[in-house]
Amino acid sequence: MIQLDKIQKKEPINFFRLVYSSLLCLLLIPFIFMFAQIIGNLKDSSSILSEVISIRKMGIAFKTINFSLIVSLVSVCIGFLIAFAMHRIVRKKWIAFILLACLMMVPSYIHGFLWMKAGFVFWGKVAMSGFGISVVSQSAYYLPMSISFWLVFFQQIHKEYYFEAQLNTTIEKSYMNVLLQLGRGVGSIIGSIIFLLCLTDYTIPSIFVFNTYPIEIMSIFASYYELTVPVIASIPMAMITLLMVLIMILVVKPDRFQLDTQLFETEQDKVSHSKFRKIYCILLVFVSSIYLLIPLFLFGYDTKSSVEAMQSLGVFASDGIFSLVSAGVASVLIVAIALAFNYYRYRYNKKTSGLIVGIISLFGISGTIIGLFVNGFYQGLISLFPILEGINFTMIPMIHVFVLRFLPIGFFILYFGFLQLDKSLINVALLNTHKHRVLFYHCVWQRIKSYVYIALFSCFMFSFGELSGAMMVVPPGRSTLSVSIYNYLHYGSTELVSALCVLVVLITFCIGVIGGLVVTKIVLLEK
Amino acid sequence: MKHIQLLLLIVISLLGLSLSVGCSKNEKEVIIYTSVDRVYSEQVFNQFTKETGIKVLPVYDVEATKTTGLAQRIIAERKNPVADVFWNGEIIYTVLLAQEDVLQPYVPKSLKESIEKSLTKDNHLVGKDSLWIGFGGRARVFIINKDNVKIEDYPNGLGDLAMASTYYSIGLAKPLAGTTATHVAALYSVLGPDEAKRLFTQIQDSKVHIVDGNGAVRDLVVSGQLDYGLTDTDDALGALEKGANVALVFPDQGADQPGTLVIPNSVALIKHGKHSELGQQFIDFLLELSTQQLLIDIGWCQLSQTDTLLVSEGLKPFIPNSGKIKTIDVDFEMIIEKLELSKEDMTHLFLN
Repeated sequence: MIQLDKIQKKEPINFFRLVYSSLLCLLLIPFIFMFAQIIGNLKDSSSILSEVISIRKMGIAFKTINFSLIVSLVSVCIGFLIAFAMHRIVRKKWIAFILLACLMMVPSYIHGFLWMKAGFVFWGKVAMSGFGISVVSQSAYYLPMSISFWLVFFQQIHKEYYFEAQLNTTIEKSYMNVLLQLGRGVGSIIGSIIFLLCLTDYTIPSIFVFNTYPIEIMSIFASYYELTVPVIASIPMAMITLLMVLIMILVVKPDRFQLDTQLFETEQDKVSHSKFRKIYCILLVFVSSIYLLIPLFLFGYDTKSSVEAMQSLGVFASDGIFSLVSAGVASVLIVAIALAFNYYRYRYNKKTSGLIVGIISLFGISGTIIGLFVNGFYQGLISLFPILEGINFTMIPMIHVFVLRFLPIGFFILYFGFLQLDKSLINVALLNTHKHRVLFYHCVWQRIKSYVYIALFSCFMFSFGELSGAMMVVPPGRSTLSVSIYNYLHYGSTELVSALCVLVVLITFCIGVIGGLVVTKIVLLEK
Repeated sequence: MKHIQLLLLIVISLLGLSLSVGCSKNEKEVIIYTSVDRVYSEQVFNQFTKETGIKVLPVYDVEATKTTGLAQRIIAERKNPVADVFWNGEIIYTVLLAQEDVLQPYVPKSLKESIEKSLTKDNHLVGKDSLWIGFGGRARVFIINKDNVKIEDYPNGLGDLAMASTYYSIGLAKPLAGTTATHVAALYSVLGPDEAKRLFTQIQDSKVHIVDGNGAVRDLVVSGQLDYGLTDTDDALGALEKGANVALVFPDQGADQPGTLVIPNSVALIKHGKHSELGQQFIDFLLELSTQQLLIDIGWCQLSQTDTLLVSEGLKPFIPNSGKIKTIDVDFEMIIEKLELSKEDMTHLFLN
């Protein structure tokens, strides 16, 4: 043990660590710029505080927390059951993952409009509650994500758990006991991610006129020209995010278990699940019916116009490539930074949880505000160094916005991924080698890669769909696919919107197939 | 480790691509920030490029943030303006930008004479110090489902929103953003805050359905889920073009009523823009009669408030018998003063 302690203390000067730390600091500069500007503008702090902290606003914040909790619970529970059914029934999991990824890429506002178009806002002449319909629509939107996360979890469960589970009790009880015990941590992660996303998403509640805190921030934003009030109004969201993360840490920490990724091949035939079949069928029919709305929306209009719209998609090819590249680069950057940071923390036992939790809580700040400060930061930089003028015509500010907006998500997923890793693993490995590359690749990467893929895809998906933050920095003459869809959607060009949605789904499908091939290739190379 | 090298290569290529995209800069380019929907503004930009050879690099608004997002972006870029022109689909935020000192005075060629005669000034379509110009316009109208509402029950004024909802289901867009917010602020300016607040309190009491936007009002009326609602003429005409069985009514046309609100587009030159001269050319182009007609033909504007009155063909059957639309006589610079108060009241009334 004495030797191990010495090894732990020995921190080689690492060039990559320096690069990553500098990169993270550079990326966070707009936040420092934002806080400095706000502190400088705090002339009448009492009136600002009275604007932000009022009984009405606190009521809305409480309602939003309530809403987010219900949505995350519904998505996690239904997702768990469906994922389990898929895990037991579907043999070619990669197909399921690609299909789920395609569903995940259907933007939240499309879901909202689907429910509206399908006539769920009114039952006859009776208006539905904005809260109820928002819960249903938002839960349906997060369901594929929840299912994917659960599927990854089921893939990693040791097959012996299944067999041992059957020894003393009924199949139902044993499965539920084992899976719920093992899945508590993963369920908490999925639930908290969905909770955080729901807490800041304004599109679906806005469609159903259910006033949530992000919408309130948007209306404050629309009323004030200096950004002090909207930023201060974001603080309660950041606090709630912080609180949520702390609760999750408490839930997940005692729940570490060792994963064995080599043992995927559960003998499915030996395990009967016939008693669950009826429940699964009902659930699958329910979920399928939600997604049947999508083709109805996509192809339920005048066929001739739809064909014309599909033909006009060429115009949006450049928007598609632009969105794809910016979201791709941003997600790679996010995951690289989050992975390096979390690995450093895990490898050297560093007490950096505070910083990580701090970064995660920044998710409470809306995309619009981040976009504005990033833009202000770059324009300030250009006015100092006019030679940098060209930056305005590149994707750099937009990638920067995506990174700042979704870095908390990347950190969040990988933070919990690393929490699941047994610390003794690296200690044992250290007895054999000190080489970073070998340690990382053979010891950590094998166990963390599922989380890396999830983080990569999640960050890509959210960056691809980001609306208001992107608009603040999009280069002149360019637009993102998401912005185009949203704008056309509002003005009823339904065939064109449908065609654009098909484009998004096709892009995701291609990425899924290419990504699947790359991963398969990597696995083959490893073998 | 081959695959790590491969991944690194992909990342580096993507980074290179992100740097190179959009790097080409042409001298004959003008950057226009517009809150006018892409489906309409793109046609005007193409026409401008065709006639002048100047390429337009537009930045479009996201409907989610209405015009607020673009206005905030212009302010954030104050130190190093990227935009040359701001073409706004409504007027409120242009007036606010003028107050923020980010606009530059410009008198378009076509308006020089009338401004000298102070004709246009009286119509409140030229900003203080010529910082902005108003033109074209969309009217706020009732869209009515003809299957659900008898002709004798058609609403004729905003007061009907408060009276009729016991018999009919009525829709109104959230009165906190876009043209609905402008409409409310205009009523606060014309009727006075107390009277306007009383009207909206009655509307709220009568359980009018508040929906996401004017497009949603139109869609719900067309589908019959709402009987009628208040929307913009561009949304209403869109429904008519698709063959919906709806009628339009210009509200408040009576002698003792304030009239229909027509919300003009507005255009302004950005202070210290890098292509100001090209921006001026665009403003001149936008205010030409032929462009006004183009805006009407493509469906973005339904009315033109220039010396010659132009009205969209689709709107003509619904114009009152007098042949003239009575519009609210409102000073848009005065509306701003009421905007904050009206938004505060509407938030308390409709979003609790």
